[in-house]
Amino acid sequence: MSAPRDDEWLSAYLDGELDDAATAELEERVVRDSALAARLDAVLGVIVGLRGLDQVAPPPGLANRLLDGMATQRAHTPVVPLRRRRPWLAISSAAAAVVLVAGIGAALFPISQRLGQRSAAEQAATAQGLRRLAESGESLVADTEAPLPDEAAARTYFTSRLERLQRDLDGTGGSEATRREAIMAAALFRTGTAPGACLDTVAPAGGGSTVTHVESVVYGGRPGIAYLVLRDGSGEVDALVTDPQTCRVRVVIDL
Amino acid sequence: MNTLTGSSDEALVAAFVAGDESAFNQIVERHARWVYAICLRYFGNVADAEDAAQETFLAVYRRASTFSGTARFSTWIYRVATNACNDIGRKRSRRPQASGHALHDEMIEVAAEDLLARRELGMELASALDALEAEYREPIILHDVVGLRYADVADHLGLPVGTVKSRIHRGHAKLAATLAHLKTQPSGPVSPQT
Repeated sequence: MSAPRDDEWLSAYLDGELDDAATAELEERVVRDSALAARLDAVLGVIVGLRGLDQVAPPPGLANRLLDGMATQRAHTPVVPLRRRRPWLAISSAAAAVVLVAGIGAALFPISQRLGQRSAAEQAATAQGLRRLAESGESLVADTEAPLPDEAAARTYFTSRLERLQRDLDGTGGSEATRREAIMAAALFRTGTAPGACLDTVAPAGGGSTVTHVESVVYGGRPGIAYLVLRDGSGEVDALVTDPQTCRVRVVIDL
Repeated sequence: MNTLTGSSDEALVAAFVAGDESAFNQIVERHARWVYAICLRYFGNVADAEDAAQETFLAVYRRASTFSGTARFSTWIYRVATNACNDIGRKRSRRPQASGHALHDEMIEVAAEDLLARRELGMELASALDALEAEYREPIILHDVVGLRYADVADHLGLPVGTVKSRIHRGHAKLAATLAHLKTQPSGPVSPQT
């Protein structure tokens, strides 16, 4: 990337105007190039000044409301910083190479650590759900790295999965909470990405949707995490391919 | 007294990633206003802005370990907030604020002058903006100060949207370079932009 191009890209990057490839390229360079990082900071300073972002008065009690709201959401969705999850994820990853189903043997070990924080009834329900899920033989999480060059290819690919996944949706796969537990507990993809990394972006907990399938894909030549999401109200299923680093949604396909 | 009070953003992030939950609370308290301002600018109403701010901090909670520390934390969180706003806007099919379609050209000019007069741009930024070539200054004022979308700026100026985006982004970089130059002059006043 040349310097004149940088000039234009820094501001475009800040406002999410760059495509995924350019975003990744710039982020990589910013990490390595402190001078470029300083220019990025400087461009943001200009944007802040022009837009008056430093002159906005927040509503009273904002920080406390945000913390309270997050506590509620986190109570429904275990969210743990990546570095703290890695030790046990690394152990469970040895047990799952290609299809990372929340099978009893592979999944209960990491899950058991979280179960310790919950009531006995919740633990039993989760364990039962996981067992049903494992027995159903359906793959909730799959590390296929399926090559999907464009949206049309992705649509064809995920449409072909719908019939098989539909059986899972019909009740053999457990509740939304069980699925979230299983996805968050699944071992890392071979790329080192956690399958649940972008779960809250595509399907916020309690938001009226159920993730039916998570899969590693290569979309448009770059690694991505694909989520099939059942919208509970409408019964529609969307396939969303996300960037594993930023969780930016690269494409949404209404199946 | 909390030992983290007064710590740098980078130190707070490091403490949080190492397992100190109280560091995250400090991050929220320190950056709530900043994130709210970004989201308010995007949505134009307080309810959506607060929702998006919450999503932003949830994303920070999940991805704090990906913060490299090369650029400032405020720059990193700006990007996280922008992504959160874009995602929420897309899910709700809710468009960002301020369409210029209902505004006549004359009203836009008046709004720009009024907002520029009211906004405390800072001496260096105001003079850098004054000195900027008109082809960059005009779209920047319409987009950044008035709050028009790119398409509306393009309509107003009779330019293609791509040209408008390019001029705005290049204009931002020119302003940043001018300000950086001013700060290196021995006699020039120095004040932080953020």
